[in-house]
Amino acid sequence: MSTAYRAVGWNRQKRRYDAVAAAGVGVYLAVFIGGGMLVDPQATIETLVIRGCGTAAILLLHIVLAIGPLCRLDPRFVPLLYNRRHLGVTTFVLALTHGVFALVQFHALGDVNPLVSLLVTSREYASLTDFPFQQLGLIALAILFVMAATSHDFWLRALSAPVWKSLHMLVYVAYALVIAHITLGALQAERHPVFPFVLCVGVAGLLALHVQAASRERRRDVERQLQPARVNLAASGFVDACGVDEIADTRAKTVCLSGERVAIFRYDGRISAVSNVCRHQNGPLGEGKIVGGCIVCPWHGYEYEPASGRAPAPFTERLPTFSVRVAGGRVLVNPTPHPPGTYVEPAAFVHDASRTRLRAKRFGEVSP
Amino acid sequence: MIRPLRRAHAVIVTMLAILLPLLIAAALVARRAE
Repeated sequence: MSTAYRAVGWNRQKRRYDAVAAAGVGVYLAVFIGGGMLVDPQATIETLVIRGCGTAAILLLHIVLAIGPLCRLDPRFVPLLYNRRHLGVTTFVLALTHGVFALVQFHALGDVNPLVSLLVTSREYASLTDFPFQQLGLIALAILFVMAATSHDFWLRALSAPVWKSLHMLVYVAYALVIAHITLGALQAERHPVFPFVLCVGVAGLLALHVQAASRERRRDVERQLQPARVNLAASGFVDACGVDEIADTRAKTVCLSGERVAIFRYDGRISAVSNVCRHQNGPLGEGKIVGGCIVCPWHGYEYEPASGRAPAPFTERLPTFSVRVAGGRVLVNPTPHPPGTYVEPAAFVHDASRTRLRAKRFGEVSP
Repeated sequence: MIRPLRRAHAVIVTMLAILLPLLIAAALVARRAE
C-alpha cells in the first residue's frame, strides 16, 4: 500500500516471490534448451528458444489462471496470489520472446515486412490443418501486452477497480487464443501423442479447478443467503445475519445480501458491516481480520476502518458500509449499502460469560 | 468479486469449457484425417 508512485513497491516477500519465479523460469529454460540440444542435435538454438519460451509461457499462464480458484478452494494458496501480477508480466515477456524469435526465424528472410508477412502468408481460414495459427498468437500477445502494461496500482486507481478487473478478464480470451494457436499450430506439426495429451490435461485441469471453485462459492452463497428477520424488523428492511457468538473476535462472518457479499466484523465489543470486496483487487475482506483497529485484507494488506469503511489517512480507498443492529444475541443487517466511506455507528453488545449469552446494548438495541 | 463480474466470469469459463474441448477434438480429428 503506497500513496506515492513507485514502479514496484518492493518488500521482502515480493523479492522472495520474484526470486523463486525467476529461478523456476531459468531452470525450466536451461533444462528445456539443454535437453533439446541433446535429444535433437539438428535443432538450432533459435528453434529451441522459440519452443522453450513458448512452452514456459503457456505453463506459466496455466499457473497464473489456477491461482485464483486454488485460493478460493484452499486459503493456504493465498500467498501465491500476493504477487501474481509479476507472474503475468513474466508470462508476457516469455510470450514476446517466443513471438520475436518466431517472427525472425519464419518471416524475416523475405522482401516484405515480417509482420506483414505473418498476416498475409496464409489465408486458409476454413482449414483446421492449415489455419494461420500465428495470427492467433499475435492477437493473444497484444492482449497480454495490454494486461502487462496495466498490471500496476497506478492503472488500478486510474481505471477504477471494476473497470480494471473487467479489462484483466481478457486473460481468458488470451488463453483461448493461445490454446487455439497451439492446437492449430504445433499440434498439427508434432505427431507424438504426448503433446495433445499434455495440452488436454492442462486445459481440463484448469477448467475443472474453475468449475469446482465456482460451484463451491455458489453453495456457500446459498448457505449465506439470509431471510428477513423475525423480530419485527422485516418492515424496516433488516435481515437476521447470524448470532454474535458465531463471529470470532477481530474476525468476520461473510453473508450474502441481495447477491452481494457483506463482511460482518466483531471487535472490541462492537459489530460493523462492510462490503466484502476490497477496493484494491476485489480481495475477500471477510477472510481478513482486524489489526490495530483496522480491517486488513488477506490478499495485499489494504486497511479499512470497520465503522466508516475508509482506509486510514493518507490513503483514500472507501468501502460501502451497512447499518447493523444487535438484538437478542443476533446480528441484524440492513442490506441497502450506504455510499462508500459513510460512517455507521457500530452495534455494541455485552458478553455475559456466565450464561454464554450475548445481549444487545446501547446502539441500535431492539427488543426481540 | 462483485456480482456482475462474477456472472461474466462464470459465462466466460462456461464458454471456454464448451468450446476448447470441441476445438481440440476437431483439430486432432483433422490431423488424423490429413
